Amino acid sequence: QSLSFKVLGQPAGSGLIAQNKEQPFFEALAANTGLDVSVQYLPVDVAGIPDSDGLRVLKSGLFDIVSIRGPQVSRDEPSILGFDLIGLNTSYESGRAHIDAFYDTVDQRLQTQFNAKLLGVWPAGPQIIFCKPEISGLADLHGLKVRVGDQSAANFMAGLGATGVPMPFGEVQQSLARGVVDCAVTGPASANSGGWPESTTTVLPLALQMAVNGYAINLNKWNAMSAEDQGKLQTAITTLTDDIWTYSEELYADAMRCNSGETPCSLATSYALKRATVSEADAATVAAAVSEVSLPVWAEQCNAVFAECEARWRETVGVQLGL
Amino acid sequence: MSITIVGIGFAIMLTLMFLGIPVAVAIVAVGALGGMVFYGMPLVDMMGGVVWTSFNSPSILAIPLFMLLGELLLRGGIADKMFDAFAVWFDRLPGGLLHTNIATSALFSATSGSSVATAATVGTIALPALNQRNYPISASLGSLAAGGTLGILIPPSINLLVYGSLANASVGQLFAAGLIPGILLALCFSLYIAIFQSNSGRDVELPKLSLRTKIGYLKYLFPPLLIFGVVMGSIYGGLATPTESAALGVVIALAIVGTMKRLTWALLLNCCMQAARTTGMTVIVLSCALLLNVTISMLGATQVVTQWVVGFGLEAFTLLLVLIAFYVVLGMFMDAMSMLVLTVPIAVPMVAAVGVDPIWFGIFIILMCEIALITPPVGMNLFVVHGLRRDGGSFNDVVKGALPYVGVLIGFVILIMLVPDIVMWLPDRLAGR
Amino acid sequence: MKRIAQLSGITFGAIMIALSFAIAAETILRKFFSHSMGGIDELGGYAVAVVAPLAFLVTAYEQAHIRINVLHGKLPLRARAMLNVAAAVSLGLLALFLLYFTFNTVQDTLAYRSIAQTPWATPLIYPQSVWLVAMLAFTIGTIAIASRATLLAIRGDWTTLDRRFGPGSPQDELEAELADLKTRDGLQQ
Ligand code: NA
Ligand code: NA
Repeated sequence: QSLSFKVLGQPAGSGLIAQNKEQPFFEALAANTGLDVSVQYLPVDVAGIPDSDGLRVLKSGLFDIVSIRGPQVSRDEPSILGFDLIGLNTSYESGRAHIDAFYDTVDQRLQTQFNAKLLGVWPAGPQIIFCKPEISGLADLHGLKVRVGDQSAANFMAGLGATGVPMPFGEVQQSLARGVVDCAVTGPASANSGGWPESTTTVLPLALQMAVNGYAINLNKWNAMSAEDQGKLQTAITTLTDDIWTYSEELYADAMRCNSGETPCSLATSYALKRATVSEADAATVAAAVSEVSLPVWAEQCNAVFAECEARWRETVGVQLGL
Repeated sequence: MSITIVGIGFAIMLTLMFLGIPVAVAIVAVGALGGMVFYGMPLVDMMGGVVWTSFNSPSILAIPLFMLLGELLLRGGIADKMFDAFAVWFDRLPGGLLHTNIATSALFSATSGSSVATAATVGTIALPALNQRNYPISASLGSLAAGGTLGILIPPSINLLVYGSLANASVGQLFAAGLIPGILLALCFSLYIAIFQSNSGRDVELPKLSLRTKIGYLKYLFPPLLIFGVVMGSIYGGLATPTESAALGVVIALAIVGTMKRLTWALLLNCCMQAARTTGMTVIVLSCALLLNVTISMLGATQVVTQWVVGFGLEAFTLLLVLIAFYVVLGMFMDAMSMLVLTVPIAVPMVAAVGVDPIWFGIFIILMCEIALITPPVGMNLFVVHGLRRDGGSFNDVVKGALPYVGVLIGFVILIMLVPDIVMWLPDRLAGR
Repeated sequence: MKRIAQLSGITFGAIMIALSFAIAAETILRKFFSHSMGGIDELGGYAVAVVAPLAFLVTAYEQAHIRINVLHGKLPLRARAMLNVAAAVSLGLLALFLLYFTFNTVQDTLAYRSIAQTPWATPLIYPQSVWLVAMLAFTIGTIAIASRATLLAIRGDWTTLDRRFGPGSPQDELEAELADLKTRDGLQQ
């Protein structure tokens, strides 16, 4: 018999990955998998459902497949943050290695806690710092107000002597222009589409995090599928996430060039941001944040709900880092 | 999912509303029960998350804060003398005190987020003076009802906050977008008065005041201007976000009322109760609309309606003209806030499909709400201003007086359609564009 | 009932005023001293969740939930009164429904031990428990109102039902406003 999936996607305005990869993939799922399947794809913001509720919605069965937003859903499942601690993924290459290493742990947690299976994980892209005052490195952030997306970024900023200010994405551009905040953290493509380069002068391309997202399917739905169909779906999603990994890197490079007025600039608007050079000392500061700031805070939180959390992380990701 | 099912759902909702069932209940009855028919309990399970997250948003927090600010200014007596201050300056213009009504409404609007509060306050202060000087009753009531509608256009505005949460648009941008149209619309109202009501109030000998006395009156404009300066200045001067500016406004208002030696427990209690009442009215309808929203989008109703409308192949301009007609009719029968929460989730994607900017459209919808407030049979500002009369005259007087302003409003909407920069200039400047 | 409504109103106001001072302090500190107390915005979000149900209750007590009376006002007394009962009961049902899914959400939060992704990393069960209590207050209040309306209907007291349970008429509101203005005038002398 024929399958049907309700798919909850990334927010409609979240960028080119959702627009050019995710949405077309699910809307043509039958062709992409060879399955006899019909799909209703709905961006999470269009559905009017909070993105932090992604895992709850998945468990309840309201949606069969959810494009989970890592930082948001970690509210209900802290192990997901283990993919992307501040300072852990400073490049695409290391990010991929760390995420692959921790994948099974998170998959297990989703199965036991949310009756869901993880099908794939991908990065939105490096989260970097945009500032209105000219800065040359992390030291210049001292005393500035920096808009951050989550808790660990705020902790990291506090460590630098900066003030982390949480703020909805929609208010950031104007707040930068009026000086409510001095700096803000996001990916270069989001910054570009939000018009941030109009109200900032400098970008410091130092990747704090990768903004990790992924796909998961409700286990009841999954178990009702034949082994053959499961294989087809898993293969297709793996192809999609591999594709997104490559695309994300291209987008990052393109958006960086666009923001600084360089060419080729094919996917975004061209601006004239100054690109600060990342010093080795700053790169080391961010890398050191893992063991000094983000791991201890996260481990305590995660261990509280999942006793083996930190141990699992250390024996998978930690070994790679030599921790 | 067809356009028929969407239509049936909408019809059931309107029927319940017209029978006098609370609007919030009618919305949830159709939204939640309709959703349960198609999706069962999982849909209900997710509603708690929707409500929690919507309550947790800064733009909702701004609603009770602005409500409280408005109550403090009103009951603290900050607005009472504004009318006198404008009156000594404007009473010799053609149309006299009617301009004072508009000016007082515009300035009061700059401190209050609500049109009904604006009409009630300014009307209460102005009507005795207008009667005393023999102004034609229809023209007086009409200018008060229409002037009051400025309350939701000139920032701060509760309706713009609600629009911002429903359409996911920046509140700072929306407030900036409302300011210039608000001032221009007030001038348009005055222009109408100068041309068509120029003989009003001519038959009364006015006392001659020295320039010194007149300047002395200006001090009464200081407190409201200070509040407006603090609230809007802190947003655009880079001090605060819109929500934070509301909190600053509350603190300053408490300080001013305290300085005037009026800060009593009775006053505070009254302000709290009134602010709670108006907050409850607004936020429950908004929350229920957000729940309806989930059902609407899960069922694909938005896409169905959008495709249906796009299917006519209308250009943006024509589509907006159709929407004006639709809103004017709907607004005759519906309360402005209910109309806003019911239509925004479907209308915004629809006009976005033909390239209309969501910030601009926010101001368009606010103007539609203003029309709804002064069109019979259901027009809150008409009720309020009519209720202020002490001579027991007919409801038709206020209707007749307000009707020309509906014409001015429609003309003004067409003006911003032709020159969108009237709306977009200030928000674009503030965004550094 | 009046006590409960007033208590809700006072709680609403006290929380909002306290929050205003906290936000104002935070804003000034941030701008002029580049210092942040942190978490005030988070606190603000929780505050709304708690005061909103209390505000709903005050609105219900004052019969001020938005109702459209274009048709309602034209019906005969008895029909109007019956629709008022329907309105009061339906609002009670709405409150029960809100309470039901609020309870489910809080239960999930407890099960997952959810933690806010904010600098405070607040375990969400704390603010959500208070939210649940506020919802419970709203539910109890509206059910009390619905019961009173139903009792009046059983007794056949259509006049009281029409007078006390109708859509809040602008006339009543204006009387109150005018009285309030008189007090202010009195103060000015
Ligand atoms: Na206003
Ligand atoms: Na109307």
